[in-house]
Amino acid sequence: MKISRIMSRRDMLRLSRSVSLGCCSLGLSVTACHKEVLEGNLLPFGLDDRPIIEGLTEAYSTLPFEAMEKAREGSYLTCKHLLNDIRDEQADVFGQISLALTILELGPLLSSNFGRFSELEPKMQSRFIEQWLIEGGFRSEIAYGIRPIFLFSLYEQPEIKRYLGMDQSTLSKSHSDQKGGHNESY
Amino acid sequence: MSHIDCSMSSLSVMDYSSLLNSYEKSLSNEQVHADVLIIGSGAGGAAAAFELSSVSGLNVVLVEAGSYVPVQRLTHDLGDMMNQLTWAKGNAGAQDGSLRVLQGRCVGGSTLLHMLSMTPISDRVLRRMVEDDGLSLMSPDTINPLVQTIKQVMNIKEIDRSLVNHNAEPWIRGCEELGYYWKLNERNSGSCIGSGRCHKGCPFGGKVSMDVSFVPRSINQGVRLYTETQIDKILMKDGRITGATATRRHPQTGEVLGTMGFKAPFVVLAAGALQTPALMLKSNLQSQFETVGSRVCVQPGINVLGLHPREIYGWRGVTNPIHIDEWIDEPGGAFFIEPGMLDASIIADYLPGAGEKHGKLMKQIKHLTAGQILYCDSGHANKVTLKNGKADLQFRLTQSDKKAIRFAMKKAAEILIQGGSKEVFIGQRTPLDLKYANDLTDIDRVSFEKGHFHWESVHIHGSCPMGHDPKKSVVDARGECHHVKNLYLADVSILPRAIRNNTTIPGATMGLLVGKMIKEVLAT
Repeated sequence: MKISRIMSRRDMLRLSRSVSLGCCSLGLSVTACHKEVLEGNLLPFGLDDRPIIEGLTEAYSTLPFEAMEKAREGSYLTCKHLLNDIRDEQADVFGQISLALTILELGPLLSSNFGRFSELEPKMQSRFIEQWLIEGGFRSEIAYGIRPIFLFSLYEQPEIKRYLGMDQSTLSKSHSDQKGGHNESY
Repeated sequence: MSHIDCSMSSLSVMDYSSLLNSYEKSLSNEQVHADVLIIGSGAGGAAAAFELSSVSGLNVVLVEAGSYVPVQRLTHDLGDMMNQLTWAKGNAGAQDGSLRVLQGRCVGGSTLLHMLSMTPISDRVLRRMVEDDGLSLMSPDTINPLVQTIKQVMNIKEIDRSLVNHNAEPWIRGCEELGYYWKLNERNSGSCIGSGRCHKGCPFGGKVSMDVSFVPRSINQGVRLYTETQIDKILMKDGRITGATATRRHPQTGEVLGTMGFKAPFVVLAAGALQTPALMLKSNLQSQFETVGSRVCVQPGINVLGLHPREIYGWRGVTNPIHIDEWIDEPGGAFFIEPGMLDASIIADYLPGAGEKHGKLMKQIKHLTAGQILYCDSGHANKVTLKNGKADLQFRLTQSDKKAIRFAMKKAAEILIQGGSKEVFIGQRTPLDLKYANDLTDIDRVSFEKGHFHWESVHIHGSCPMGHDPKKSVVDARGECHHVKNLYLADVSILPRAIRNNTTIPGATMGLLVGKMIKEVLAT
């Protein structure tokens, strides 16, 4: 299948200077990064730091310890660094999908902090996602891996959970409280 | 069968912890001698250890690849818990990502992660094992007393109706409107407060899993437990078991800390339906008929969500309070449904769309109710093999499976719509958004193309089945391997057919049963 480029490499690198990737694969939480997310400096993002070509479960079943440690120390892998390491064109598209997903997913929730990403035309974003992900187009293996990883890292953020009303920090000790405190029938 | 005293006298968690500390010190390069080596401390291994601990003077060693994670170290952080408690960070199963198997890797195994839905093998299925499979030991008369022991030790009781959470209510209403059978679950809960965190280990001590029931009782009766010790190979000489070699690894970094050797004339392998065949294959213990891993009942789960006009807060309360069993004997393909909702970070991937559309759905999470269809496949098309030195599940659906699953989806959607949901989402990547009963015909066009579904399995079983014919089974009726003397398998991998329910009680049942068989052999 032909890969059509919607985002040029130049655009990609331009974005990458203002995008840092935290380290997260399913099983890790980017707890060090969420403050920077709200301040608009960092997008939480799940990605193994190796090219994901040969089996996505391998990608998120190995633990990039070095990257995790770096993230916790406050330094991050950059998208530019990632692209330089990737030789295969397909993985390059994967990187584009990830960034586009990031922009679209976070935008509605935290749009005040992500004004610069709205520079991308929504039509271009939608078309990109429809083609490569929802329709299971180019790489269904990419759809397997990036979407659950990304959504996991996003919705594990405490601020996002509070935003949705799923915060359990005030967990009480009784069943009636746990049920929601009301007894309406359904 | 002899009576076993199941009362827990004075062993507290603190006592247990200090007992474990005796064995958690590095024992690298040590040779450990035992009469019986048990591999795996999940439902089957812990129960086998408990059974064998009643033999006076018997030297029993229990080995666990994962860590001991006490209640005090359990948190509500899903990523952290998957990291600490599971194989492959919660992503064991098919290495191509097509099906995820949630499998425990810790003292107590998957019983720390399960939703407390405790169902024994039904008498109906047991009778088929006796009549059709010729396995007289699987009769209700033999099995049910073992189940009673398990229920007593694990404090298994039916949940009170008043504790059913709001997530289950639309499902109940839909079933009652349509005349479909549902029942209250039996649960192994101690001091449950309904926190809804069952799937990440209960940090409130509300779950009576193996690590706080069968394992400490076994240790109290002299069983030695080695944790963070992964068996690399089971050893055999002249067709008989001699022991095993193992590697000790750091639980977080995986760094190799040392190696160990175990010498034992009897080995009980209870590492679960994926890891048991994988270890046999790694140890070159495949039979000449290639039966190890040759057939696996996956019981794939498909997640279904309903968007309700009222707020539900589905994640609150007891996670799996009921079972919908209307189709447990469906001739075209049996299935059951378990209402239950998990974290937003998991639910998010079950909803269609991306970007703003997806975000709008997630903002309505308080209105969502969720459940899982568990389809009872026969397993003949599935296989466990080794790939890159790790267990790999090859998962296939037959045409009749697909037809049956579509039927199950329609029923789940029908229940939710009747129960008041204004939209129903079936967890797949191409959007399937159902609003009215007439929309259910859209399900006929559902594609099972790879990648289109979130296949999950939490009840995998039957990968090394029990039977009389070595050409079709791995172990005999007593759990001993046909082609390796004194190697016993004692977990759900030996179940000879699809059991159509959850697997904790069946796993523990196999552990107790095989333990008793070994005791009889030792007595002679």
